[in-house]
Amino acid sequence: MAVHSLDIQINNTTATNDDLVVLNSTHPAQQFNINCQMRLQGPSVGNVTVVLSNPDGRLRFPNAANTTVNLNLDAAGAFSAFQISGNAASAAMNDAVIHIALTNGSEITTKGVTVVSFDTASMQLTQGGNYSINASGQYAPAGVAVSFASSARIRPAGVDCTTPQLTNLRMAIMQESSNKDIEVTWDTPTVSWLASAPAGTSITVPTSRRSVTTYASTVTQPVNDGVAGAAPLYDNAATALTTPSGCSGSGTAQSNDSPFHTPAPTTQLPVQDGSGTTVATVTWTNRVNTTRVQHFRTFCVVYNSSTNTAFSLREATWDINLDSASASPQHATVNPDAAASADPALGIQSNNAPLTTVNNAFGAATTNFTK
Amino acid sequence: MSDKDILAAPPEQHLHDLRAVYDMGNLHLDPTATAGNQSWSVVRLNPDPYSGSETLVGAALDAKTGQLINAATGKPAADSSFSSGMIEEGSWVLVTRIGVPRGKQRGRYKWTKPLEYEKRRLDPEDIYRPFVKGGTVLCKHNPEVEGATQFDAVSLLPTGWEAHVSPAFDALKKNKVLSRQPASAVDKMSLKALMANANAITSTIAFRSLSESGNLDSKTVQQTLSKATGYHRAVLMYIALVHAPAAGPSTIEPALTQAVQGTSGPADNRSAALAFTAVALFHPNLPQSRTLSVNLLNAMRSGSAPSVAGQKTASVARQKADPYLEELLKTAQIL
Repeated sequence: MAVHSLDIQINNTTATNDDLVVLNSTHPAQQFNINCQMRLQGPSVGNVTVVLSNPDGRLRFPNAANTTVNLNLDAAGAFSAFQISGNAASAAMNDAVIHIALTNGSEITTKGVTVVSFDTASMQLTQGGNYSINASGQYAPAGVAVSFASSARIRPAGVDCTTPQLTNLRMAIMQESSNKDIEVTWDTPTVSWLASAPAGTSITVPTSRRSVTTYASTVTQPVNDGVAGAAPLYDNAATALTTPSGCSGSGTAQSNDSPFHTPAPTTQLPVQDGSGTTVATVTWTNRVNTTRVQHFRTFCVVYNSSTNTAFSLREATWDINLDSASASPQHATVNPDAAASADPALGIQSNNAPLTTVNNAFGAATTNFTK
Repeated sequence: MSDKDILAAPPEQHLHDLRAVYDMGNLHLDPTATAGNQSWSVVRLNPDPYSGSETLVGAALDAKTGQLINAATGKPAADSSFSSGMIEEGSWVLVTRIGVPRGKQRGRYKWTKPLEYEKRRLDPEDIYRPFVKGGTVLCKHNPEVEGATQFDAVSLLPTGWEAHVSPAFDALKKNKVLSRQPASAVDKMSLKALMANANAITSTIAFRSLSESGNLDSKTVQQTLSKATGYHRAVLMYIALVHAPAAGPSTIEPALTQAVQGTSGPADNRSAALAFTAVALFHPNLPQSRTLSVNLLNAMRSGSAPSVAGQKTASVARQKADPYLEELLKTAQIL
């Protein structure tokens, strides 16, 4: 009976601190395959076929259906490659055990691997200040509208966060936006007649006008949302990218959002007579109010700074439904977090997403002016 | 240079002054550069009463029905067929034209800019629009063309700085070192001498060149600030914060803290608050400088001395509330 000795390298290294793989993510569905290799050590009379399996079910080789994989090992000692992925989280270091056996079922050896996961994940939202129109004309919150805190713990305890599989992972924040509706309403029209308009010229204009701004119909909602240059994240400042609990220098990723807009104080249109000649300019001089409705979903994500990809652990929603004319304080409303239920939106960032603004007559009332 | 201009500013002028400090801190002048018939000019802008109105580009109302029509065809049109914009219109008067004194001395401006309804970051233009609110600007100006292309590289001038523009261009022509990064010890010596120039713009350009190239230590910053007053002091403090060495603003923190502790009156308080508010508002991408600015504003607000590691701090004397300062603190959301 032949006795085989094997050199098994997880992550293609002889080191053992990197014998780990990150658990497959759900949102988005993603697996983080690790390249591995194996070879015969010592003399062999011929190539040897071995079967790799993982009875504890924590690993796959590497796709969901691949519960085993056969490797033909070269008699001369050349490496044969295989891949693993994380199917279920490890409870302890090296508890995902690869069994290597001959095709007749005779086990040669085992190799312990760790499937790294994240627990105690949290996406905390904190309501910020009240909205008002400030001195420079922005409808903006006092301070911030909502503060974000994203955190999680890496598991199992004792995992080496400096390994190539983990060193680029950061706790981070993603956000998506939908149902944006910004409105401004003006009334109190005044007229400025052109000198060329004959005395007695009469015009009729709507007493009120309303501007309505929404995402253009071409925009697929929800829309990825974040500060410029941070995509796919909401924020890529150092304070918004932290190592997970359980790693050296860990912290909570923090950021905030303060959506604002600048409603024009007045709106204006020229008025033409039947011949196409401009006879006057009408300005609606009183801004009645501005309103804003928008829905946000904010994600606690694990971000890989090397691949610029992320997967979600938790999510929390918040809304603004604001009216500058309301007597009651206007602010964002935030909700508790919950398990990740959807893939965070990617693609165009909200700030760059095309908008449609229509400026309509509002109501049926009209005002007449005569020069 | 004196304190009288900054002290004369009414509280509502704080937004104008924030924009002006930002623009002067980021001013880049090349006296040899020409683009078409544009000449560097100082122009006073007088907006029409409803400059800043929202409008529908290319739309008009039918006089009889009040219905929306296409202004070009006179035919009824759907509201959604027009894009929205912001009207900027008014008149301008020439104050100074560099090198080319002839040409139109006054005229009108009018254009419609696209609306920006979704932003994450506050720009100086959000705080104060010279073509909507008025002011005296330094710009490349071609009065022969219509529309927004008439004006380029527009920078709002602090009150009283229009007199510095022409001499500053003379200084730029005479001292090439003002237009390049300092490459030698001689360059640095020249810039340090120009930093003490009585012309606020010349001094500012020299200070920024040294600051952004990492050639200003805390002591030099402190000495320069102690001699500067009014808007000039505000612009220098702003530059010191924005161009703090890559190691972080800690290297200039002692100078700024000393400057705040050593404030001798309302003018110094106003200039310091202008600088710190401009950094807090316009530079969220410089978190350390922003944090330092907010801390210094808080210290000014509370009347306590900002602390400096390893230094004993004196208490800043509480002074009678200055409405201009209160408005700045509100804008920076310190109140």
